[in-house]
Amino acid sequence: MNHEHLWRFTFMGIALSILPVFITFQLLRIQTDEANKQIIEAEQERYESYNLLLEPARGEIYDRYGHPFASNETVYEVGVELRDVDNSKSIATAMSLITGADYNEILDIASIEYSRNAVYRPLKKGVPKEQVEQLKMLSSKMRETYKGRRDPDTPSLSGLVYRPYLQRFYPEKSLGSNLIGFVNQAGDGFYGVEGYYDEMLSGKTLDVWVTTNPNQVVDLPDTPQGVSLVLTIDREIQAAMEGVVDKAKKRNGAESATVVVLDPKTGEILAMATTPRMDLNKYWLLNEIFPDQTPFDRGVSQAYEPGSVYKVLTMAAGLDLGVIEPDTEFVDTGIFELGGAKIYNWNLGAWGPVDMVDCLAHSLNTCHAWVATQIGAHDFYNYMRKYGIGRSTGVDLAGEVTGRLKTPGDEDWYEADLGTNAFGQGVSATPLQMASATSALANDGKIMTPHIVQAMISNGVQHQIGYNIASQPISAEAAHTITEMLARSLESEASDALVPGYRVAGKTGTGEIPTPYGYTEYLTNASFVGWGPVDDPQFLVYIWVEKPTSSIWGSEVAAPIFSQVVQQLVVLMNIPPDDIRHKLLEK
Amino acid sequence: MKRFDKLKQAYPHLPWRGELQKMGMFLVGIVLFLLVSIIYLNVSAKTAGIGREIQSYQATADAIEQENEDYKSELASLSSSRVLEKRSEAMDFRALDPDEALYVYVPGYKGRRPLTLAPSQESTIVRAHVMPDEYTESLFQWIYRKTSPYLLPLLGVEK
Repeated sequence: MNHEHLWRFTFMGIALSILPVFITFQLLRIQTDEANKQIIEAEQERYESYNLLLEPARGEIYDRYGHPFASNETVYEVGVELRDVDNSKSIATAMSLITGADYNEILDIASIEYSRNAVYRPLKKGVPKEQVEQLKMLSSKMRETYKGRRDPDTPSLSGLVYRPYLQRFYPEKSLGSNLIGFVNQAGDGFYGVEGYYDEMLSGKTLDVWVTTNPNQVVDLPDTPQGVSLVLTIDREIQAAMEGVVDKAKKRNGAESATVVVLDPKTGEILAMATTPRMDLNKYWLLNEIFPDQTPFDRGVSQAYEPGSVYKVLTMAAGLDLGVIEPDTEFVDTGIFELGGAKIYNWNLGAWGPVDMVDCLAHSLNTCHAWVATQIGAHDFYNYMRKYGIGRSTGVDLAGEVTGRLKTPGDEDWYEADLGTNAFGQGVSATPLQMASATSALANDGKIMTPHIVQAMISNGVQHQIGYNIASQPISAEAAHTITEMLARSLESEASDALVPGYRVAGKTGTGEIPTPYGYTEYLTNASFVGWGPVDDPQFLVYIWVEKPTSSIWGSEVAAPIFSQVVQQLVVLMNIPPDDIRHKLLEK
Repeated sequence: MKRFDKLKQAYPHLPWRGELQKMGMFLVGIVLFLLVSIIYLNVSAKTAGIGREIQSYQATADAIEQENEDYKSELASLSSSRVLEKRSEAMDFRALDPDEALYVYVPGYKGRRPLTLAPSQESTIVRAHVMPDEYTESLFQWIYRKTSPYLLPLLGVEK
């Protein structure tokens, strides 16, 4: 080996020896340098693990017989992986044509230059499966057709990605919409049951780190589905009542119409129909359908002065306290003075000597104001509180308002209020509050807490919700007496509320509407409350027609609606006519 | 015999014996290293495979869950009030008039009841012993339990 070769070998030897030392040094430097360490950790996190939000499927909502009111369906978030975008114009065109998205908006997003901070951008959420299938088909057709072409104008949907997720779906669309409420795109529940039970329905969302390294894979934590609810609502009754309110609103040229159907023995809401209603799958139309201050559910969210239907509460309180009896005589002079105010009857007439049944049958304001004075302010307002007037009924629906009950001691309460409150003026309540209060008269004096959920299904187990007695404002005896008086008063007046074959009790109401300048003359609230069959009440119906223009009187507007409602209810609830029912019971 | 004794005496002093021992040890080391490496590789490959399988099952489970929800929604749509009403109208059904209703007494029938969609809490409580005796008894108790049906009659002892 000559000298030159030796030198070369020595050089190569040294170089090859230094190289591993250098590599080792560099490795150590990268590993230990704080700035590099952070970058390495970030890259490691990016490629080895990711943040996963485990959102359980939202609980379903069923009617009492298992018909779904709310379920879930798969929709997609369509987005772009910016690095993979070949032709942003193709993406914008396809998205606007298939999904109806705005072309310019999509083009702007899809044209964003890929960078460390711009990797993925969502284009549209809530895209249905069918549209995603169309996009996928179009994408594969483009790939096949323009295979091998590399110019930038080659049509391509490369970069489009589809992320499936569950979205709320309402198969009944607008049926029961006011009771059900809706879930928005962010997954938050609003109004009705969706709003009241939002937390339970949505379940527990978990934020977990998931590794992509198969050596470190762990079982994902169990995220049970949100609690499902079984409502007390009967879908068929609800549908029938919605038909009734729509017709009633139209026929009477009213601003709105509301019907509440309760089981007075349990407090179960069988139906609560009102206007307007909306297709819950199109919740973004909310402000169009419910403009200004229009409440989402008038049944619980709008208090009004109920007028004469309130008289049943006054009369029942008088009977319970023993200050009156059905045959107690009152001499009606057509005027009753209390606290400096003069109270007149609805027709400004005087009826002379009348008993309490006549007082109810002719709906005499003077008589009921007198009954209230016999009860006394202290006891009268105690009764009203026990009826639940001026306070929440405790119903499990979002957005319940309490109405207003002025009581002695309040700044704006005057002695005359006792007289006017006795016939439902100067006091406000929601239709559900009125139905709940009156249910005491149909249920042996007891008010059961009105409720809409009868069972919850959690982790595959159904939990029945029991019934609660909210209060017992009057005795069973007083309840039976007032029921009989009201049935007789309807029969004596040959009311439009009567139902062939069924004995029912009830009372009409015509409430004037308060304004800052006094009560309106030509606009009223027409109401009716009734229940039946009298000897075994199985339903209680409350009707409110707001500002009817066909007639201002409850007896002409609301009473016939009650009859129609009951004729449908007895079929849907399988209640035979009284004579047949009695014969069946004898067996 | 003498020859064997000589070899036995000379063997510890052979010059290549140490080298042979070192090579042997080295080879044993390599074999052990390879053995451990192969086992490690095998286990980690299996772990990775199973991990990948779990990930795939998780994805499948998610997809199935979404599919289930879709089927439920489809079923709900098909059985919605409006759809059923249209179908019944198409089949010439109409709403019942109360006057046409015929009521028949059916002994024991209590009317339409709300549907139960899931078992109640009570029905899901398992009242039977789920843990076999083997998990709680001692060895002697086990032997006694197993043999007593045969031994006790032989000994004339009645249960």
